[in-house]
Amino acid sequence: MLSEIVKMLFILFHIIIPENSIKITAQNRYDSISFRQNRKKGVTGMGENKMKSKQGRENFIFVFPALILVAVVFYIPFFMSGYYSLTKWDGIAKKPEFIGFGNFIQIFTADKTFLNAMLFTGKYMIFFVVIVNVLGLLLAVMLVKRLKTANLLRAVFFVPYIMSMIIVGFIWKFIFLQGFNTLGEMTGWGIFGLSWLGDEKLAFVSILIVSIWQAVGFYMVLYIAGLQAIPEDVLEAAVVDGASGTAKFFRITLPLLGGTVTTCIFMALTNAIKIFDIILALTAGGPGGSTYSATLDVYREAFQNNNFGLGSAKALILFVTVMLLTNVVLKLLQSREVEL
Amino acid sequence: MNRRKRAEQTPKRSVGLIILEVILILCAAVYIYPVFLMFTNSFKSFKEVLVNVVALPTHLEFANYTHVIEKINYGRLFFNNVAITFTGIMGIVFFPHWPPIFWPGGIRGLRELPICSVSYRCWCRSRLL
Repeated sequence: MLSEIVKMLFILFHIIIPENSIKITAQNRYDSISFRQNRKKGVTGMGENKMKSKQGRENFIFVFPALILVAVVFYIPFFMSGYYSLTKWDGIAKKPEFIGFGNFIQIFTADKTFLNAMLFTGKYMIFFVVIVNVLGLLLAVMLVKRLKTANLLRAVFFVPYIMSMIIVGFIWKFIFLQGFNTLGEMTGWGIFGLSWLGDEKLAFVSILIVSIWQAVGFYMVLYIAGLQAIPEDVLEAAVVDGASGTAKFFRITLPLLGGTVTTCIFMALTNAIKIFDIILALTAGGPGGSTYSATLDVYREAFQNNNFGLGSAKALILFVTVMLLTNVVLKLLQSREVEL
Repeated sequence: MNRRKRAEQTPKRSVGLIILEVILILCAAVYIYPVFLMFTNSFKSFKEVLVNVVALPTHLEFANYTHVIEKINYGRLFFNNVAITFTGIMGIVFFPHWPPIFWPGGIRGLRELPICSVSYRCWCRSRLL
């Protein structure tokens, strides 16, 4: 097992760093010594190949400590998870039982929960990405105007983002269960009398509201930074040419915000797919498993049902899905970006 | 005189901007209300919270805070959070800049050592990029 991991790491290192950059041969060592001696003598001439080789070694030395850390905290667990996905393991037994693609076959043929969880995650992702970006951009556009309270308002909209998701979840659970009841009694409005966490459709809306409330401030800040980076002279030229406010926004501001839009959509996409803590705090997957996300399913399978093999296989499928999706979306968005 | 001149020089804010500001302030008030609710309820007793969640506390009750500090050992929990955050931030801030920290270019003797010059030049290059 360990030797397999070492082999994989070795291959990985060779993919990341070109072979000629890490080979320190006798010739290289001689070159290095002679280079140092020449430098002392004041001779600075060096061949292009030697220079490249030296640069490669320098880069490797520079990258090596970071690479070790990343390997320890990311690559090794990742490859181990890949191995466990091919086994039947309860997390306690010393040796996992190798079953090949058994876990994957089970997921695709007999596990409806995971399929439903993936569908829920997909639905949530679409709504979250669209709403959070539209609202974030709208707020940013309004808050870059010369308002007296602009800084205060920016801070107010950003405050929920600095709070922990679990705390946000508990605050809103309290509001949905207790606060809305009292508000309903006070105002008589039917909207407060609904079962926000007990109804299947409303539970989805509740999760969406809470996560958007928490995240929109962050995207607003990113869009404000993007808007402030747009050169004033371009916008002034558009005004001189007679462009209306709407035309100026859709034909100049929005295309020039391309890079920020790509970043925001990419981040919203990955954050939406990883949704876990808000669901855990608000509904815990209920009612009747209607708000069961893919990450929650992986967590339950691995840590509550003690099926580490099956849990790892589900996590791997989720990882591949996220990777493919984000790559496609990124390429699509990057191709539409406009540069000045 | 000076005041009048200054008032004439500053551009007048349009009515649209004022309306927008008022709307945004109202939105912000609604937006921050859950946080405000959490804050006000933290000063109420459990009984008072159950009676009316939305109402302001009749008198300031600090029992919740003393309970958190004494019974839950909040200091320890907070220290754990600070320790993890501090380590993480230190790693992020210093790790990418390790060459100039361990082998500062300003110290001539150190800079002449091959490993230091390599690191320093790499760092300079990364800074230029």
